This record gives sequence, structure tokens and C-alpha cells, in this order.
Amino acid sequence: MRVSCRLLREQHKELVTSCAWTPSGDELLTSADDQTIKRVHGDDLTTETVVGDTDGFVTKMSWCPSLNEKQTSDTLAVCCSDGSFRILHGSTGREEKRVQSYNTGAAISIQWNLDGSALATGGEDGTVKIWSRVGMLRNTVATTGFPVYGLCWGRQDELLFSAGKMLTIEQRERKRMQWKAHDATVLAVDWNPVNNLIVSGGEDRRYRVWDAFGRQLFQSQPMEHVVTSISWSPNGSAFAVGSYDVLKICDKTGWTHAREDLRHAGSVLSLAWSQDGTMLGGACASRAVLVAQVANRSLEWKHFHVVLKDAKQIEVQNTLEDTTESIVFRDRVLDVSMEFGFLVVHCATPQVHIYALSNLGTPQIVDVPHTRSALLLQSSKTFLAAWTVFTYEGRRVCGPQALNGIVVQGLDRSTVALNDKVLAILENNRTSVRLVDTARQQAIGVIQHKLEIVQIALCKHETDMLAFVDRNGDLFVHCNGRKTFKLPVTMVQSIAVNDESDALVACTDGGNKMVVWYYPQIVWIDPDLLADTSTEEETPVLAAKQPQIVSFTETLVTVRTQNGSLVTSSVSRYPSLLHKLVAEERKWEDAIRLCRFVNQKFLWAILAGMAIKMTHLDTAEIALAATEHVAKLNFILYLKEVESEKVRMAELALYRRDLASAEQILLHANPPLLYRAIKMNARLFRWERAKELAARDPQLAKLVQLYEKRWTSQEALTDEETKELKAIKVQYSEKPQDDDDDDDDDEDQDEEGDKEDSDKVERARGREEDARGSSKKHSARQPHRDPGEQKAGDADDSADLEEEADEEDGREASATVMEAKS
Amino acid sequence: MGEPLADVTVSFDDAANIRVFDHEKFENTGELRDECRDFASKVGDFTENVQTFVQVLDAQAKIIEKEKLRAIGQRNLVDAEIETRKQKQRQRMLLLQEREAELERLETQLNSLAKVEADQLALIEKLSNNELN
Repeated sequence: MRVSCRLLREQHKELVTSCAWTPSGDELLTSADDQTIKRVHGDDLTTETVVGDTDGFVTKMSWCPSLNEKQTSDTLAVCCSDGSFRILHGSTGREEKRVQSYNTGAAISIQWNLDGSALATGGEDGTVKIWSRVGMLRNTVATTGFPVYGLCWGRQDELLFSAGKMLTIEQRERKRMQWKAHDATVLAVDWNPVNNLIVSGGEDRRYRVWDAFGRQLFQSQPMEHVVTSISWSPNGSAFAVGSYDVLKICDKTGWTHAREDLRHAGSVLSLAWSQDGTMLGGACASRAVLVAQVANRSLEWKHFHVVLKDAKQIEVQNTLEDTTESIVFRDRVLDVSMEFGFLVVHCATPQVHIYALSNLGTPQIVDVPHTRSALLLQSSKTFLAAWTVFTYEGRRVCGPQALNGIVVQGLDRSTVALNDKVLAILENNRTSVRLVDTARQQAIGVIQHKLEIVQIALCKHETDMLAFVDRNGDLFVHCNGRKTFKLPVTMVQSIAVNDESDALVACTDGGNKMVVWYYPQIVWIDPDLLADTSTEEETPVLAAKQPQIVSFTETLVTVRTQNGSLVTSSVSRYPSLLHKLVAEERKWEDAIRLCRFVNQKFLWAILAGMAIKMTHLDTAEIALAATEHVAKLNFILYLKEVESEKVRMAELALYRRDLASAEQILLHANPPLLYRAIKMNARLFRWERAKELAARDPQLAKLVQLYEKRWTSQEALTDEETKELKAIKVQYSEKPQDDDDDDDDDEDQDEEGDKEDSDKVERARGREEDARGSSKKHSARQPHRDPGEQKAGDADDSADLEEEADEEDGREASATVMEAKS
Repeated sequence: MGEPLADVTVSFDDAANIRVFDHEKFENTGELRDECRDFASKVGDFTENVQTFVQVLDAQAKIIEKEKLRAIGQRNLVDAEIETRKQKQRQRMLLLQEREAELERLETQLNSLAKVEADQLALIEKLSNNELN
């Protein structure tokens, strides 16, 4: 990224003190010590005078932000050296209000808050005051004793100001936060609402980046001269630093994108980005006005390289065929995105040009509504531009009305996600995510979370599966209608999903590790296999460098570190091949052959997960055998013997820890498999539910009662009761719908342990273990027991089992009930 | 006019012109007049010369002043050169630092890409050998 700078020296006769872009983003207003305010057009540099005589020396200006997308604000506030501030009509320069805010000394800083409802001023005498929109004094926030050079507002109406060497955040209902930011007077601060980071510059010639809690994230080397101005770009990806004869563009993590020497410009006293982030204005002490355009932004996708040559020209380079094509636009380019074989260019016209990378000659051109925040997101079939979802043919799929109630300012690539069917967007409370079905144009769910969410990502195939990272650095996956699952990693810095499969990659442990989950939806199939389907890699290159994942294309993960270098690493190619074979083509034999060829455990585990999900038991059997999950394998073998389709599905649902749907399947079968449903609940110690189901049938009620007694009371069943239990069981087993009742018998045999062939018991227990998967009690009872080791001392084991069960029954039962409720 | 011109002797000269002065006086007067004229012109010449001279001097003075100023400037520059060089050096160092940082960035990127390339070559090798590992 570079900037091409132009200095306009004829504009003013005296030192230029301040500059501000109009909310429409085309024109730069400058105020100078010749007591005029002038306006310069960003493109053609035509100038006109707004205010001929300001009657006082303007020190700072601030545009009132627009309240909504449709209405552009036209209110400008300026503060003057005579201690007053004025509210002006921006386009005509008519003075609407003048307030004598300071009696001693000048008013030297002024800033509207983010919704334009309040105005803060800072004075040379060190007091900070807040005013209402119409200029009524609300309160005096602080009296510092040092001139307040810098002032800005945060997301939640916190007020940040500088005084001497200190920075202070004044927040509502919380303690004031104050810290020493620089070794000398702080001259400039800015706070970005998108990334919530603060940047400050001072007379110690350094600039520093802070988070909202005042923790330092970056400190620059000392520059040649004092840092006189600093400004965040609106999307928070970069900031500009002004000093004597120098303009620097730095990334949000602090490293320098570009450094421009401004010959004879003097100190850059004020900097301002245009609303769309493509232009930068500056006020120079040598009477010059600086107008700079961001250029040389570049992006890559596979073998294509796109460079934004200047504001209106794009160069597309195909490195494979070594060809370069140049595309010139009539208007400024706001944003460019290139993924999935398509290049999407958002122009200021406002239009979106869609190019297929295979044919750059004939773009689709779509008119889009005017927005102030241009964000482009792509999925394989659709893209989001100006908060509207289009197909690549240019057909409009979903309009911005689906985002009703969300203020889109302050959202960026990490807080909005798109796939072919769903658009996920972080709501303004920053703790919940709204999922919108793009085809039906309506919200399909809202994910609530306790903490602030910092990043979200949507999977490509499992379309309503969302991964998100919260403020604590915990990573969660969520799927509609299923339980949100926390992945077993900590301090997650950044995540990304693959563009071909559903693989999810995360930089965790503060960058020390990179973890790839090749099949994350396995958490809803069998969480035990999660560890098997992921790979973990130590990444010393990224350690403690706040790595941000830029892309995860094919098998390449590209990560940008704090110092700005791009680090690429590759992940295994096989999972995406497997994904393609199974999810898109259903070629199970080929998939098995692939796994045999590669013969790695994680690939088998992925295949097992896929096969279980799609109820392809043959494949599941082979895959589980290869992963050496004996118990699970046994369960699959048992499932294959089950004749009733419904029972098999119910058992599988149970395997997936999906109790509710297992019960639903059983009860909705024709005729309902009531006995089995009751048995299932009894097996899980869900006595309440079992009783509820058995309420209508006295026989079954008795059965539940007997079961409950056996497992929860101190006394053992009498012989009579045992007989009765058997009788009821036999009666129901003989009923035709329970054609495969032998598993119940297995369980009984298990209970009666010693009579049975040890091999068979082991098998049965294996099944039982998996079948009872949804309750954690079994794993609690047998913490580290591998089914393969059970052959020895089997009879003892089953005795233990009974004893332990007796001891732990009460607690387990309640735990199960609680789980079932949740 | 009423007074009689007692001491005035009117005479005639050789050419029969009337003379108020006697011949000797008349000649002296004539000589005097010529000499005066001569003198006047000489004085005029002198003034002119002086003026030219002054002009030349002025011009020289200007040049000297200019040179003087330049010399002062040069001297100042020389004095400041030590500082300037230091400053320039600082500037270059900063630029160098930034370039070095960029170099480091690119090297890291290159290294990572080289690793990826090695991985991919290994994969190609493995696939083309068609051996089961």
C-alpha cells in the first residue's frame, strides 16, 4: 500500500490548521490562519471558499456524523483560538450557533461523538467539556492543568483525551482510566470504532497503539521529528501519522506500509481520511494542503495477483500464463475482492463490476445503493456488496432490509461472514450473531453469547455452521438447533475456514500453535473423534506476534504477523479431496481407497465422521476399524445387525448425543416404539421422562418403577421382583415391533455378568457404552477404560460396575436430568 | 547714467573697434575667459569621472556584500554541516530500518513459501513414485 501525495500551495495564505472531509467523502474542508475555510474537491482539486472571514482563528474542525445511511449530515463544528466554538452549516458556511466555551485560553480540540448527539471540546486551560447537539453545556468532564490537544469518542460514548503525557478514558458508570502514554506531551490521539484500538503520537517522536483497556500493543521507533497528527482509516485497517515533512501510513498492528517525504510541507498539523478510506487529507504548517490517494493495494488468489495501481486503475496479473491486464474505471474504486474465481470491484459510482477471472473482458455491472462503508465479501456462488447479496450473474438475492436494526458501521471482514446460503452478521451489542437465509431474505436464528464476539466465520458446505471467537480467545462452533460446542483450545488469535472443504484453522495459544480441524462438524456426530480429525502444528514464527489469518485457500493458510510479514504454511491436501469425494460425489469406495493410500489416522477419522453422519455403515465400519476405536466399531457392527430402520436411526441419534431426536424417532415410528423409548430413558436414568412415557400403561409403569428401584435404591430387587421384571420384558420383547430385542437382553446379561461368555459381555458393554454416549455418567464411571483392555477380569468389572453404579446413581441421575433439560 | 564716466577711457584698437578697456586688459580678460572655460570643462570631466568611479565602487561594494553574505552563509553551512550530516544520517538510518524491516518481512514470507514448495514437491514425488508409504 502506498499513497500518492499532492500538495496544494495556493489554497491558503497562512498556516493551515485543520482539515475534515465532508460526510459524502468527496470534498476536503480546510481552515487556516488567514481566517478562511476553504473546500477542495478530492478528485479534480477545484477549490472554493466556504467561509471568507471566520472572525477568529480556527484551531480544529469536526463534522457531525450522519445519523443514518440516507441522510447526510451537514453540520460542522469548529473551535477557535478566542475560546469559542461555533456550529456551522457545512455547505454554506452559515454560522448557526456560537458558544463562548472557554474564557481563558483557546479551544484547541473538538469532536462529535459517534452518533452525533454530543460534542466534546478541549481547552488550552486543560478543561474538557461536553455539550449537547445544540450547544448547551452538559458537564465539565475534567480539569487537567495541561492543554488538551487530542480528544475522541469510543464505541460506548467513552471519551478519550490527552493532557500532558497522560491519556484518560472517561467512561460512564465506570471508573476513569488514566495512564502515562508518552514520555512527552501527547499531541494527537485517535480511537477507531471498528477495531476498538487507540493510537497516540507525542512530542517524544513516537506513536503507540493501545487497546481499549490502555494496554500497549505497539510502540514505534522514534521518528526524526515530533508526531503532530494521527488518524485511523475508517475501516480500522491502517492509520496515518503526520510529522515534519513526513507522512506515514501504518498497519493497525504498527508496521509501516508506506513513508512519504513531503518536501517543504512543514509539520502536518491535522490528518483526515475520507469516509470510504481511499483518500487522505492533511493540513500543513507551510500553508500547503495535502491531498493523498491510497494506491498500490494488492491482493492475491491462487495464481492471480491484483494491484490497485491508482484510484481508478486495476492491474490483474496471471502468474501462471504470465499475462497482465489493466482495467480502468470511470470512478474511484472503493474496494476490491477476489475469491472463488471472480473479481469484484466496488466503484464509487456506486456500481459493482463483476469479472470472471477466466474472462476479464466482459464484466457484469450492477448498480448498488450508496453506502458509506464499502465491504465486499464473497462465497462460491454469491457476494455481498453494499450490504446486498448478489449472484455472480448480477442477480440481487437479498437486500439490506434483512439486516434491519443493525448499524453496519463498525463491521468488517471479521464480524460479517457469508456462504452460499447464509449471511452471518454481528449485532450491535457485539454478543450475538444474526444468521440470515439469503435466499429467503429472512433471519433464521440469532446466536447469543455471554461475552463480546470478536471474530466469526461460516463454513462452506455445512451452511449454517458458524465458528466464532470471543473476547477471551475461546473458540466455539454453533449449528442451528444443536448445542454450541467449545473447541478445546485457548487464546485463539484468529480463525478462518477453507474455501473448498469445511476445514477450520485457528492460531491459538497466542500464536504458538496452529490447529486445523478438518471436519469440525464432527462435534455433533462424535466429539471423541474431534481430536483425531485435527492436526496441531507448533508455529514459532508466529509466536507472540498477534497472527491474523488472511486466507485459507485450497491447502494454503496465509497469516499476517504483527510486523507485517505474510507467512504461508500448507495443510494436508487429502481432507479436501476426501470431502469432494464424499460430500459432493458420494464415492465411498474411492474415499476408502484414498484413505488406504494415505493411511493416516486423521483421514480415517474424518471418513468415519462423514460416514456416520450420512449413515453409511459399511464405510463407517472400515474407517473406525482403521482408527482403532474398538468400542465404536462394535457399536457400528451391532447397528448393522439391527433390522428396523427406525431403531437404527434412533441408536445413531443416541450415538450423536442427540437424545431428543432419538426419542422423537422412536415415538414417531409407526407403530410407536414406546417400550424402547422408555427403556432408553431408563437406561439413561431419566426416570421422570420414563415415567411420563409409561404413564398410560400400568405394565410399563411397573417396569420403570422396578428399574428405578434396581438402580437407585439401596436394597436389591427381591427374587419376585426380578421375575416380574423379566416377565414384563419378555412380554414386550415378543411384540412384533421390537423384533430385535436381543440388545436389551444383552444388557441384562451384562448385569448378570458372570453367567455369560466374557467375549460377548465385552462386546455388549462396548455397545452400551456408545449407546449411552449422551450421558456422561459412563465416562465418569470408567474414566480411562479402553474397551480393548477389558478382556481380563471381566467378571470383576461387571461387579464393579454394579457397585459403582449404586454409589453414583443419585448424582448421575440428576446430572443426566439436568443435561436433558438443557 | 547721470554720473560722468571719469575714469573710463574709450579707445580704438587696431581694427578700429571701440574698446572700453585698454588693449592689455582686454587681452587678459580674454585669456581669463578662455581659462575659465577650460577649467569648467575640466571640472565637468572630473565630476563625471568621479561619478563613474563611485558607480563602479558601488557595484563592487554590492558584489562584495553579496559575496560576504554568501561567505557567511557558507560558513554557517559549514558550521551546521556536522549537525546536518548527523541528521541526514539519522534519516537514512530510519529509512534503512524500515527497509530492513521490509526485507525481514519478505524473507519470512520467502522462507515460508519455500517450505510450502518443498512440501508440495515432496507430495508430487510421493504421488509420482506411486509407492505406498
